[in-house]
Amino acid sequence: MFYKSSRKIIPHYTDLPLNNSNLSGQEFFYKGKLWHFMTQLDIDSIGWNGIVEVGFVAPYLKILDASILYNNSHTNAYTPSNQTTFLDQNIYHSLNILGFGDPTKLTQINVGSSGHPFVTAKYSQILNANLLTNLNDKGTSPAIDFRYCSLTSQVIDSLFTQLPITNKVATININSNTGSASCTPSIATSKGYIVIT
Amino acid sequence: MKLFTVAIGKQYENEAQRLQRSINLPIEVFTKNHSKYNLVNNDNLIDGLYHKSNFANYIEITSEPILFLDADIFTLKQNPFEDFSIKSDTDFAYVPYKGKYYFPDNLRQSSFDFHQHKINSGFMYFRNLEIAKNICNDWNIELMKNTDLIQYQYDEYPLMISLMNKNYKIELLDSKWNNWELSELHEFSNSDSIFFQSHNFLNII
Repeated sequence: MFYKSSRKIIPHYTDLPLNNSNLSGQEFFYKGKLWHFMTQLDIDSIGWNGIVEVGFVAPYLKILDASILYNNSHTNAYTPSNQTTFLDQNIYHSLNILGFGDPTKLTQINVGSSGHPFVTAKYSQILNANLLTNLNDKGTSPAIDFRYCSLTSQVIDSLFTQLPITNKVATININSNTGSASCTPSIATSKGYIVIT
Repeated sequence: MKLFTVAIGKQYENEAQRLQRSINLPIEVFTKNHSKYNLVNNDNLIDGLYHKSNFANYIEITSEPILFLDADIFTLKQNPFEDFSIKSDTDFAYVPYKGKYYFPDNLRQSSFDFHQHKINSGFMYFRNLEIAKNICNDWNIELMKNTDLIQYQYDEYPLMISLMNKNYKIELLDSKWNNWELSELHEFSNSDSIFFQSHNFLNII
């Protein structure tokens, strides 16, 4: 007697696979979360047209999944909230704001340290920050906390330049970075942000 | 040292109860039930900050120094004030925020540039009640000049502006006396700091 299960088998990967258009629509588990190779419909539904291609790997729950980052070139994911298992600390990566899911819904981004003086991440560039249209402080917590991220002044100024104008209370804390003292805060303050160097 | 806090609204009252439990010392809590309370503004934030900036006027005559603590402050230390010391000639002491601030407006920028730091108003020491009242009176006036700016966290900047016209001896305290930056349970537990601030974890004590 044969029994056909209606359940599909979803693979578990220990290493994040690379983007693959041939696998679009397929799901897999990675670090305990459900991911998928995005279809065109997936991409269209969250406005990533022209930004990523079919087959781009992403966690299913993209909205406000702020603990998942993307390395733009290597598509590796990191969970900075779990500092002890942060991978490749000594390698510079790109921080693709797209990696947070729907950036237009994000009100806060915290990839910096909450005060502990150890390196949490190293970023050589920050991409697509123009999509952060809803940033807002929460009490004394800044909208953006990029402390201890080894950001150069060029990367910081690039972030400032990309960010849209704000009429909310939005603080950017880039204290304790390589470029903190030499960046150009006026790029951000002219658009309504408070900057902490 | 007389301890005082302001808790306008149920959430803050609950936080003040945690503060009381955590320090295990007499602390006066000013709430809506106080005989000197009156509704100043229908906006809860404005109303609460009005009474916070006016707190010294709710204290009965005392010769003790005054320590104001935000209602959401708490400690995990027994005898938290065991090592608390202030220089004998200090009039006003607080924990400054870290970092250099840049603002989109001249009003806040000028106050920051004067002091060279942002003042955190969650843990404030006053040498005596007269000094506390003097600071509070001008702080309150400055705060209420621009209530439309309160939404932009404009509670500490009026304090900074009001102090620009005074000549008090100010002492900057170590961040351990108000480590407001920490926000997670494991961070509180692993920290050597004495006081923290959080609107969460009301049952931590």
